[in-house]
Amino acid sequence: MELFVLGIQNVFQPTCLILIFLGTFFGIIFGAIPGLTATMGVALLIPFTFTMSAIEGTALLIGVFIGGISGGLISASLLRMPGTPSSVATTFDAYPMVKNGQAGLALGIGIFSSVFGGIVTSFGLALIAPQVVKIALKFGYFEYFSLGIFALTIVVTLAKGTMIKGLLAACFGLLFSFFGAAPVDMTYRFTFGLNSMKGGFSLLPVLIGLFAISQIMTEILNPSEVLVPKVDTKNILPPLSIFTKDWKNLIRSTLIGFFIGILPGIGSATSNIVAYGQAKQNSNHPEKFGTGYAPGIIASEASNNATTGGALIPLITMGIPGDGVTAIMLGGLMIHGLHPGPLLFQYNPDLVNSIFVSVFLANIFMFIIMIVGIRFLILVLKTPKKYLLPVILILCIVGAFALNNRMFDVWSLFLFGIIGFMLEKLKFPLTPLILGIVLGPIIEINIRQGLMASSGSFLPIFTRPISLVFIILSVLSVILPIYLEKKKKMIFQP
Amino acid sequence: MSFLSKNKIISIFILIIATFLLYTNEQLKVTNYDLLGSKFFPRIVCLFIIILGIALFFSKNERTKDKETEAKYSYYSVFFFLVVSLFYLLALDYDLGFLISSIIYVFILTLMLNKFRFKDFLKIAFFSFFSCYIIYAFFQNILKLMLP
Repeated sequence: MELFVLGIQNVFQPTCLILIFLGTFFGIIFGAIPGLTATMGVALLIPFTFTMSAIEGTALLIGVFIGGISGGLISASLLRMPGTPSSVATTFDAYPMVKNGQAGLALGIGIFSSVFGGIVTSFGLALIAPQVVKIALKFGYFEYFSLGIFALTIVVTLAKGTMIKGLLAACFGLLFSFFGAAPVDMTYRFTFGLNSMKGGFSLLPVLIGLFAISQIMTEILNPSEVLVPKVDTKNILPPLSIFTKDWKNLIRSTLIGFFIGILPGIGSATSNIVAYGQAKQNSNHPEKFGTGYAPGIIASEASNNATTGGALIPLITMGIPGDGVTAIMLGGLMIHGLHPGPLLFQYNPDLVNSIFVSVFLANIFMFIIMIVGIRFLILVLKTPKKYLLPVILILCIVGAFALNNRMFDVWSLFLFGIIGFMLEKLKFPLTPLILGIVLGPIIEINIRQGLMASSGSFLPIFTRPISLVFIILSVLSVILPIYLEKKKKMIFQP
Repeated sequence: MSFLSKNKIISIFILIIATFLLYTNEQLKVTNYDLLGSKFFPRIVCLFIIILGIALFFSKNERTKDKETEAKYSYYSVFFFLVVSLFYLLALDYDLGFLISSIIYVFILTLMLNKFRFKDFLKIAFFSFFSCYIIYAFFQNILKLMLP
């Protein structure tokens, strides 16, 4: 308890508070612009932390992390262009809600859900980090493989109504993830003789292309001069009843985000889609998802912010980054002479507790900045398209190039923009494709390495308890929606 | 009624792509480093796509809720956008310079979105120059990010 009070004392210094605030603000801007990410924001600010103390530097980076994940909500809702991979599922319901003239409400629901997810997991981080990590330590190759399979079965829920096309999209997503150097033996697949293809497709240009570029092309088709003709700037604060009625979804999505965040290598790109799929599957009104339905926004935003807290757990407790952002933060900590892991708790307990408090405060600042900024953000919708779209396009191109400093990513951006545009015109869902691209490497790497470790035996998939649980969940995830759909049709048939 | 419905055309296209990729995959020379190898997953996925493609061939077209009656003009706009973007990417690839290329690109796109009304020429030129310059200055000089 004394150490926790020490952490509060360390963080509640004027300099530290200002740094968390600025970091969060900077992160929100980075998260809101398609192409720029929290990872990039953290990487850019690390040099600025050289002259700061370890606590101040870490607090700044945590602010950027949380701001960056939360900022994706803005472009996902207003433009249907997810600012970060963690906001893909937010576009499904937030954007239709904006199109219905309820921009303020969409943003408000997203902000409150984000804060809830972030704050709950900041408590989780502080109270149960060392205990929870024991479960994460039991995850081996087969557990990750089974988790990947389970996450992939979400496609069945998301693609209801267009099952064949949804499964096709997921398969193409998996196929695109196989382009380039294969894991384990580095065989070059589908490079077609091009050197630039050897690295494969990066997720970010693919994501921005599929959503942002294709959306720009769709808006070009739309004769309207602005993105949304009617914008409501009055109803910003969502009624509490939206959350109290949907408390199960809120808590479930937070827990999904938190636990997925703990598992290194998965990240919020997966958690928001998994949480959305689970919310739809467990809802009494699954048909309303995708039409501007509040629970859809709640699921996505609560889970992606919850992932931030979860991702910090393996970083602090084991020195293993939970995702790309925490990988960069690991570098930041090491620059200050700190080595995350069990010894960090022993030798730097003040820093560890300061991290817990910083996460909590960053979420509070994120809430304040976003709530105050909503009215200004909504003004973006009133900007004529002829000025807005070209600027967004240039920012997307800059963001795609900044990732790896290669023009191939910019070409990929437009290639997938065309693919996304055509898929939407042909009524193919985009999310399964994203899911396939994200999960393909996870599934392949882990099963191949797992089989090497088990001398070619597939048995551990079924004999290891955690893996077996995910396999059972995968089967249920596929069979249940189909069974319930058939049962519903039988009930309503005359 | 045409024999080839939308889904049938799409499925033929998908089957051609999947077969081509499967063939490309099978030409790979791989070592037997692990049990599955690097050809296994692409092979499985390609076969799945072929099966699903055949299923799509025999499936009914989805009912559209409303008729999509976009003017022919709009698709020409999309085509124009793609052509201009191609030239822009080539300009970036061949080192014309980010700032110059982007100013021209934004100018043309804004003009297109303004339905080529030249009475706003000066406003659009002004906007193109300053928006690109601000982006360039922010990323190059403040954030120190490399630009294309």
